[in-house]
Amino acid sequence: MAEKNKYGKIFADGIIFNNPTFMLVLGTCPTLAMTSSAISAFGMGVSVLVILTLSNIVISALRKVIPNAVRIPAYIVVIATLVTVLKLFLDKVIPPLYDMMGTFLPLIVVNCLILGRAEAFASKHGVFESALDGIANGAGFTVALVIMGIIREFLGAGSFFGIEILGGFKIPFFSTPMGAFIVYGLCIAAFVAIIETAQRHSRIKKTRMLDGVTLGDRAETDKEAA
Amino acid sequence: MKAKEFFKSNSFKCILVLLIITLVCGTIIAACAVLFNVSDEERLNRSLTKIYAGEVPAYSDVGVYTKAGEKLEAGSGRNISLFHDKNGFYPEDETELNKDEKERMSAYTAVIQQVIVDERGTCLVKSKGKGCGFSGGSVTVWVQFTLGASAPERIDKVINVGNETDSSQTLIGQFGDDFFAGYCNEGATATVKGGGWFVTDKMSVESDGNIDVVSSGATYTSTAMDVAVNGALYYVREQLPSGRLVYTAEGGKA
Amino acid sequence: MQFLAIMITAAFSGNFVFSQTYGICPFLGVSKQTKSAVGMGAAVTVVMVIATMITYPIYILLRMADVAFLEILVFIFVIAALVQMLEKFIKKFSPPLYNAMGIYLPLITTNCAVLAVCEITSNALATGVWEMAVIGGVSLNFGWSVLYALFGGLGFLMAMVVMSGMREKINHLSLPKAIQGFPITMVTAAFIAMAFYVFTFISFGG
Repeated sequence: MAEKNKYGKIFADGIIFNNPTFMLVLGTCPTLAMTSSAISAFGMGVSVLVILTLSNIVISALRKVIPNAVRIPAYIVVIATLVTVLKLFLDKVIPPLYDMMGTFLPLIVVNCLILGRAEAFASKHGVFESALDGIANGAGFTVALVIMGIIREFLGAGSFFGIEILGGFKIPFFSTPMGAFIVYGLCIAAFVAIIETAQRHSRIKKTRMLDGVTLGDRAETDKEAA
Repeated sequence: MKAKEFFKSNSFKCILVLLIITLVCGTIIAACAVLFNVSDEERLNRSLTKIYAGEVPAYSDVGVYTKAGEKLEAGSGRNISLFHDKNGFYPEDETELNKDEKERMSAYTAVIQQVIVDERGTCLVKSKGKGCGFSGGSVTVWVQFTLGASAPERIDKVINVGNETDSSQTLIGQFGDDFFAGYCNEGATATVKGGGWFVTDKMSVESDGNIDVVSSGATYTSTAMDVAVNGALYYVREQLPSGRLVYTAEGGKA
Repeated sequence: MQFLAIMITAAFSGNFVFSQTYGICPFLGVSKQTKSAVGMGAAVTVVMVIATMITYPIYILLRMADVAFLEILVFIFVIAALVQMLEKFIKKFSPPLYNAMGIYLPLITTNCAVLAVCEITSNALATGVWEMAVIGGVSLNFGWSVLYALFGGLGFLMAMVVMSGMREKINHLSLPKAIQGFPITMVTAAFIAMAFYVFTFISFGG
């Protein structure tokens, strides 16, 4: 049970409470550049998820072997290798995605998120947990990017995943970097506000429950807590 | 001494580990490069599948020729100069511009890289518009022509060759199918038949379609498109009478 | 004329932060104070120029040896090594400068803009026959590449300084809690980006 809770915590942290894009604001370059359409956002998100998970696994497996002084260069070499393999793979198997990503595919190497998780988590935990952490953070990143991609595509091109919805109405502003900044800022504000409100409510709820149990009666003592 | 020795051995271990990791990674990459190698023919096939939207007919690569009729070697391209001012395009020899006028105008180059004729008689030209575009990059397109007896009749399709378009063309993604369709609709066909050239007047390809491109800042990428398409058009008009744009089964690939 | 084209494209119409959205992480992270913004911008410019000078010929060699797939590994290795050496250099020759910006130096390695400049100038993304990249109507040979990197870096510096100036002013405002921090920073960046957007209407050879 404790194990399951621990894994659940890793996922909850990665996707919601420490969402790399909205809460920690890491890896922002692809967030601004690749979210002009939902499909490219999804493609970038999944690429980062794959690289992050694989790099976490490899680095976690090698964590006892790599001396502390050269750990950053070693991590970078591993990540660069994975990105190169991904680049070759995409060029052969999914060329449209490769074209869409353009310069930002090699830039996954210097994505602060991947190096950050390697340093903060994979170098200190076992392989399985690191893999889960990679998947969780990658999923959080993908979800955040797709949300932004949907918003920007909807407003900027009037479509949803390429399917025209608003019948030609669009505000091209949102397809530009300027629109990206604004959408990103507002998404952060909204996301943080929602999470904090939810956390506050769950804390209040817990306080009510505890009060009810300790006092042994179900009187409405929650008026002060609210 | 003791501390120095210890330090020395630790740094040796560091370098060794780093070296081993790098070598292993390099080998993995090399293996994957061989595994995932994409040959030139495969790239060509990708473009062709996109153009024909399905089954690719038999075709032959007829090569690229100079105006005088010499065949250029594979890999090099034919440069076609185009002069441009706000009134339109003027290709290299078809213009009676004097030196002053030429200096006043902007000069672009279209590079004809590959010419393919398929068994149905349509001609595909791979053309690269240079010297313009957002940040001054280039755009590479395939243009598919239906050929008449002595002049091209219409343009059937224009596609962008993704990974050969300059990486600075960050807004190339804005060019959806509507933009390319602007080269193929009725107004465009009239331009092709009438001996005219395509001009993107900041907002639209000169035809019935109106594509609002300037608000996304991609005005100059659309000029590059025009250069590429006009270059291809010029080449076809020039070469068609020579009888070289003909499908031959020997030079062909099915 | 070509000099002007490269200079304006690198710093203004193709500004790394506001037009091409590279280098956003340090842009957001270090632009709280003008002093650190200037330091970071200067360090990034230096690394960009030297990295371009090294990676441009290396990439040509890789292409000639048919091992172009090693490009990402080699580039990032060069950049990481450069940053390490720059750190030691600054530590040795100017300890106060090192104390001021020592913490930001390792971050330059993960600055997308540096790797992006190397990739763009060596035209590493183009498949098929290698040709020089064209920016602002100018083919990027070695000299123009270095110039592009220099002005790209200066454009980055300019972006950081402008941003830090605005952020220092914003600190004095009282904003609702949800908007404080990153949201208002992003919106500010959007407005600066809008100002820079005007530059995209300048054309060269276009």
